[in-house]
Amino acid sequence: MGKMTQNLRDGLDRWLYRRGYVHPEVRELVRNQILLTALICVACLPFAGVSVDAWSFAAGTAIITANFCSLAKFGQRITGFGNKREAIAAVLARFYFRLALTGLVLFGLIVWFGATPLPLLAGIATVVVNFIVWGVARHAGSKTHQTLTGKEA
Amino acid sequence: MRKAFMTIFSTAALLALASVAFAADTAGAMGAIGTISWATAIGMGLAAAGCGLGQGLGLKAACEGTARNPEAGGKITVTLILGMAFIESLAIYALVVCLILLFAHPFAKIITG
Repeated sequence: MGKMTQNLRDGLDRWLYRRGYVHPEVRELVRNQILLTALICVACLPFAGVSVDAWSFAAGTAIITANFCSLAKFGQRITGFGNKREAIAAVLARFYFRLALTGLVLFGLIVWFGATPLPLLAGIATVVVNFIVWGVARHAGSKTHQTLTGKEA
Repeated sequence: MRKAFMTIFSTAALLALASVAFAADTAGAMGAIGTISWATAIGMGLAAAGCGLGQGLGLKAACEGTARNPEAGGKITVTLILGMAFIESLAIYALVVCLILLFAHPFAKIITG
């Protein structure tokens, strides 16, 4: 089971690398978010026909994952822009475009498909949960590393 | 040139506020809908502007940091992406709240009594 998970993670990592996520930490964040989304979608699938809340939650997660993937891919090369003004203009243009697109999708989900807003918001909040977990894990890892280095010294 | 701009802005402001003046006369649900519409428009405008400003300032600082210390570029990029994703999720929260106010009608029972 553990080996299968490791293989899946490595495969996803390689696929993300080929898709342009070259920065290792950014790739890790994107991979975790994709895995979380897949897990939530699989968990909500049996209840999709029964409960509106279940598919609303899954839809919220999918929306924020798509947003984050787009942002992360562009964010990796944004600091390499020669001109600061050009970089800011590119980021703002993409931000407002994504926001408009997200607005359209959310409008469709709430108005046409009758999605419930609170599970939708909870789904959107999964990205924040992912970051916090990643940050805590990283902090714990760095503390352990520091302790080991101290002992070795 | 300045006079022309002042005239255009004054006309636009008067036209924009006319609906509020008319809505104030109508009692009950229509007035509430008008108020909610204004609230969502102003709220979303403020949220989008604030988030855009935040992203721009964060990116400016990241560009300056990378230019000063190119070796720290990797760490700065991760922090920048995290910050921008947090800001973007805030804008999306505001968007969802505005959509709830406009289309999910959470105050409908209170307004109609």
